[in-house]
Amino acid sequence: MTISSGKDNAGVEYQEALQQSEERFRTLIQYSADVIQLISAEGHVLYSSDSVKRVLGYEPEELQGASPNGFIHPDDLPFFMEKFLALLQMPGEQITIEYRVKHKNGSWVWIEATGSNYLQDPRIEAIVGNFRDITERKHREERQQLLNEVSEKLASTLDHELTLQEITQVIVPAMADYCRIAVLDEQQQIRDIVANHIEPENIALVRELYEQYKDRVNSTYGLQTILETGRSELFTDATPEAVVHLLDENTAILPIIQALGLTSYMGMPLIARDKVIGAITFSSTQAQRHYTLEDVVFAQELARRIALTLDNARLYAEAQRAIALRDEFISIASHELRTPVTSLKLYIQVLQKQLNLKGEESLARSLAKMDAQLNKLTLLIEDLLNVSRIEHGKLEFCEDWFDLNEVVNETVEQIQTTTSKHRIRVEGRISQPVWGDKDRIGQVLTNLLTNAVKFSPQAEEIIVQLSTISDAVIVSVQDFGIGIEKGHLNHIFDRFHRVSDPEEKTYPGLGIGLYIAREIIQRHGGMLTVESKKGEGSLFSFTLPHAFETLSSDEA
Amino acid sequence: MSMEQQAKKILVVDDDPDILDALQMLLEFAGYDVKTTEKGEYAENLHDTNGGLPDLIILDVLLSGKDGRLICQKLKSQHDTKHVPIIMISAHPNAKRSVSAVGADDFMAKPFDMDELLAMVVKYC
Repeated sequence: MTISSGKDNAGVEYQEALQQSEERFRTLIQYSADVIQLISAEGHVLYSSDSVKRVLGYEPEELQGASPNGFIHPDDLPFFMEKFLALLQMPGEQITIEYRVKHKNGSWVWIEATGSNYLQDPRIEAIVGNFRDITERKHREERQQLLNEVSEKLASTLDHELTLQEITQVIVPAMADYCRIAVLDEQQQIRDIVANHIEPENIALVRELYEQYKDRVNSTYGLQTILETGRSELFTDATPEAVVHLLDENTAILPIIQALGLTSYMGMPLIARDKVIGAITFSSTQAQRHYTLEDVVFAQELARRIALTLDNARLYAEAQRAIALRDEFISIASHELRTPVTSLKLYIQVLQKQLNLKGEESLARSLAKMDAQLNKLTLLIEDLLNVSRIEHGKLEFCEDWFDLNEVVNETVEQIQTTTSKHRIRVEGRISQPVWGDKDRIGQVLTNLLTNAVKFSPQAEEIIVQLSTISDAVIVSVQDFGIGIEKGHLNHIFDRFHRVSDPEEKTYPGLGIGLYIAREIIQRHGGMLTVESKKGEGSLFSFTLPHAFETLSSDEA
Repeated sequence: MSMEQQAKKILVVDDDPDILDALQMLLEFAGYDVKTTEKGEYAENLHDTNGGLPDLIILDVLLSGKDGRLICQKLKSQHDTKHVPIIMISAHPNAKRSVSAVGADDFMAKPFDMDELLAMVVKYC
């Protein structure tokens, strides 16, 4: 008895233990956040854990015998079937995939499903499916992607009208069924408004809606209100009736809102540097899409980026306008400055003739000095205009074959008249014609020689050397003056860089001569370089390609 | 050689009266018979019949209300005036290219030295 009872006891205990264990596992499955399903080789649901109610809204019994076709998103179904059939061929193996399943309420739920093939296992004889709701994660990924796409569009251009239209094309359909972006002008009036609708034929309707209530300053909701108050709006459940109520019962817009089928709405201001510069609105027409506070936070981030770009575009346009205005001013000013200089020079020459006739030679010499100053003034005017032209790539060149020796001699002769202290010596000759703008090269030489005179007040000689290497000519100007400190050498070709020497003095000038000279030489395909030693002098050299061979083949 | 008989006639057209005044003095000083006008119309309507043609025209590019280049183009396209040399002057140094396109014989950028202009004038008359 003891034994048998002991034996019976053991059997009962075993049964109980087994039951307890089963209970435990069932409970485990029931309480699991994941949905566990057993699926037949034909794809029919044999068993669902209770959690399916929480994830998909169905009672487990409702899904008994169901096949995937009615539940899986049509876009994901082919992929699902492919993987399912593959799994059938792999006993004991697992496959994990992601796809969308329809919730009982009609919305789509993203599922991460792990299927394990236990069809051959006599204890199970089914595919065991483990399903996890990953809608949140997918949502975040989609948002991030949207943000990336919008940022990319924003970064791609500074033409804001084009960009705004493109952005509405990303937002619809990803975040809205229709969407509007309005931008204010300097006077706080709506400058332009872009709209997009998931169905292009409805874009006009969206615009009409705006026309209908744009003047209703008293409305408590809408684009105009956001622009005025700078506050975000959220209207989770937007039935047409409720919308009209909020819009001061303006029933004129009811048919439009009904036609558009609004279900949910949110809007937020575009704020740049604490100023409302526009607004963006998102509207849903889908029963399942209702905006939440979380959506508003995301959309505000989107709005922040759009506002930043619009502000940058505005600043850029303003800068461009200012530059254009400055260039126009320089161009007009330089013309207007040259005209009085012209008559001034002519009158000086009239006076000179008369003084020379009367034998007033010292007065005539004073006039010659005035004339030389006017020539300097003319060069300065020309340089100002050149800087502006260079910056816009508008420096014009009139190129032809020319004799470089001639240009060098003419320039040297002219600069020699400005200095009695220095003797400018030319060494060497160029035997072939050079291709380029004769006047511009003359301008470079004038600049280098003027500098050589200016920066070697104690020296008596300046040497201009002409030489030819295989494919270029080299022109160098050597002075024996104050030289340039090493630290300055890299900057002397910078625009508006001026030499100021603490030990000596500040040398006058605009600091644009060498900048222009280097631009001119580079545009000719040559190089302008400098070697210098403090206290010993400077050597400026430039090269010009001498297309000698081209010339001879042209002649041949 | 008597200046009265041989003096070449130069017409100067510019909308700046001071430039006209100074140029007239300097050109007369150099022995030319100078006529000046601020009005482009005068130059535009030049013909062989109305009192004889100048031997040279110095013509500003931008006259007030008139483009000197159009005047140049007209004179260079008329049978009786096309042989008259025209030197165009301008405070826009890059007008050089556009004036050769309308048939001007030469170009001088303002401001200029009188010696340079005289050297150019001698070349043409």
